[in-house]
Amino acid sequence: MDFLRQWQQFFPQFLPGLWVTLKLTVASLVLGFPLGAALAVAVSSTRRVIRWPSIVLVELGRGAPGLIVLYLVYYGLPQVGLTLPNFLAATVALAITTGAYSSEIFRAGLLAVPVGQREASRALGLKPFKEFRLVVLPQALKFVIPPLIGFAIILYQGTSLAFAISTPELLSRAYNAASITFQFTAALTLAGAMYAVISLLAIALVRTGSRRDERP
Amino acid sequence: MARILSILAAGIGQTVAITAAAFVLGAVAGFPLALMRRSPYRVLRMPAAAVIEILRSIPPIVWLFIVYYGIGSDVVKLSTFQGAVIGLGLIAAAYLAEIYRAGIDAVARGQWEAAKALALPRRATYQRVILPQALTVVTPPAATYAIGLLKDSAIASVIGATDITFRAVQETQANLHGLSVFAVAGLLYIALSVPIAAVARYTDRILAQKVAK
Amino acid sequence: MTAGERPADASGTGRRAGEAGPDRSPVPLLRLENISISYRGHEVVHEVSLDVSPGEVVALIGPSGAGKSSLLRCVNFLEVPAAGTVYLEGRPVGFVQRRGRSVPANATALAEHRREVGMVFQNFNLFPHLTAVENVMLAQIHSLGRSKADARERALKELAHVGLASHADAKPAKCSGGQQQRIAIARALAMDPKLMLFDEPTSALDPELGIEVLTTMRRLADEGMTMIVVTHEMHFAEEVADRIVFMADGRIVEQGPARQVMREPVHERTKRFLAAVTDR
Ligand SMILES: Nc1ncnc2c1ncn2[C@@H]1O[C@H](COP(=O)(O)OP(=O)(O)O)[C@@H](O)[C@H]1O
Ligand SMILES: [Mg+2]
Repeated sequence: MDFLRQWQQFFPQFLPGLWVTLKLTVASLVLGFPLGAALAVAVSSTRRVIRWPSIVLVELGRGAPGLIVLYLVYYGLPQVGLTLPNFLAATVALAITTGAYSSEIFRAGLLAVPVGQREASRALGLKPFKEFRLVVLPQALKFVIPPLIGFAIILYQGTSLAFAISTPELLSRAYNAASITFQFTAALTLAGAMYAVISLLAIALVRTGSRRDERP
Repeated sequence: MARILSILAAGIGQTVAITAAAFVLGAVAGFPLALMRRSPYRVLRMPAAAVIEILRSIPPIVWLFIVYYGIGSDVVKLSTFQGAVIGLGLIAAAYLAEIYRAGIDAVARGQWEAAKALALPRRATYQRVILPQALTVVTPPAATYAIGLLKDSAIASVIGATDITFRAVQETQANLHGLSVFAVAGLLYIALSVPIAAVARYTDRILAQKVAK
Repeated sequence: MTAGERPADASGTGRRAGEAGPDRSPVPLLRLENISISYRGHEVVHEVSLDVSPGEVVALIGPSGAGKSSLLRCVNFLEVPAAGTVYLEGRPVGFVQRRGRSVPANATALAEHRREVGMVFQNFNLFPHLTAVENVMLAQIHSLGRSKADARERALKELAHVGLASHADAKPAKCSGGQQQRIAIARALAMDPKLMLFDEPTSALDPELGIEVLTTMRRLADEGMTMIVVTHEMHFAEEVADRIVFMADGRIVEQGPARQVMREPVHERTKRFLAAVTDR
């Protein structure tokens, strides 16, 4: 079939793009999840100088389109004299988005730990930081891991926004190949398939993983 | 600030039109998809499940490209608006189908049984018994989805639809003050999502009152 | 049949509760023949047969998990029997014979059958978004094809009959459990059923609310309605039912005239059950 032959031709050209996409995903998550955890604590801080900026960051990061955040970093920071190359700009923007969304996940996880656990550790004389690190956090992690994985899969798809600032990721590769050969449908559906296959594989992996966890 | 706002405001119409049209397309197309997904027949259920999974596992911007550049150049020429609406609408259909399905599944089993025991035809069972109750369950997640769709609509600018984001990029490239422009654009999107949330809360309250008063 | 008319009853008018059973007419109104019911290959009702005469009130009793609900739900095909046949007025229902095998009837044939059988559920299953009168009207309009006006008139009449004329425009959530269950009874009666099925109609109710439902059911019995009632109300079974059928482990263990089964049970299993649920 013609279509399959075109896919075959495109596939090796797209692999470097897929590699950039994966690097972008991992880098954004590695920066974004700790940011999210910090924001989760910061938004309920008693200190206004900590609380308000973090609330603004979370609300903007969640409320504004991801593309706007991306442009804000890429086109906006030069206004204050900070010009980032496109991969770095994409990483920073996606990390901010990740931080904003995951902060809500972390916050829900912290809230899911029963109050009695805090009270018990305080009764045992644990200082607040140890109480958090030794008692609350390990229990909260159990609640947050499934939604964080879910978000990671969404973010993998979201890296395609980096096309808009010419990051040479999967979609950019596909688009460039398509504009040279004029085989738009073939090139773009192959890119779509590559996104889909990895997303679906990840979802399947998570499902079997969580099923295994449920067993006693 | 006011100048930026007036420039971006020129894109509001396009942003709202794309969001609304894609939502309507998704709301309509999602319904048969949800019914197929719940069908007792494998030949209906499996394709629906596959379509929903595929639509959701490919990034929206890629769908937009497939529709606008792929179908748009190989099959039938589409305007940027049409491309954006069809691309986003297809994805919306998949998500809304799952929301509908959850809503229908949330209706108590006894309601189906009562309808059956009263020999209500299938159509009346759906129209008069199941859907009115499912609607209350569906409204909040559908509204959340609509807000997400409003934000996703920003990618329409990448294929050249002249929406808020498109105007913002244009303005930035003309004058170097991207920080202010995109901050205002971000706030504008947030402001536009407020009425959606308000409408959702309002309809949700009305519907909840209708069910239990 | 026009709205507002009660179906011509075959027998039983003026019969007093607890007295001797009705005439055994040659054709039972309902016949269950060797009914077996399975859930995912696990058989829970084993070849049960049961005849119900016109006007007869049968109380189906037994321990939880005996298969009472399954058997009852099989009468109107909410549960499809794995084997056996249901006959209504001598006609087999739910199945059609095709090349020597019985295959499930289509939805139209099942609806035809269900129109003639009313059912009252443990949890009422009223439609929560509709008022009482709309609940009673809905199936009249969409299932029997009555006009809106006829359906409304009939619905108001049935609601009055169960003592709820004043609640016609109330949503179920505004009614007590006992009132909701009486609305559900009115909803079933408005369809002019030949047979009424009750699955533990008072189990979800406080005792004092249960009484108003039982009173309604007793009057229905006195009016000659054919009824099968799954119940744990032993008083009701003894006083109102013509016959008590005791089920355990998916089989009918014992049956007979209500007083006789209650006072002189034959089987050990029946004795133990009755001893456990009554304080005699
Ligand atoms: N939908 C179902 N799926 C699986 N098993 C069921 C279902 N309904 C009933 N059963 C099982 O069938 C048996 C009989 O149940 P049921 O007819 O409800 O008994 P009863 O009404 O006498 O308490 C029980 O063991 C019950 O667990
Ligand atoms: Mg039962």
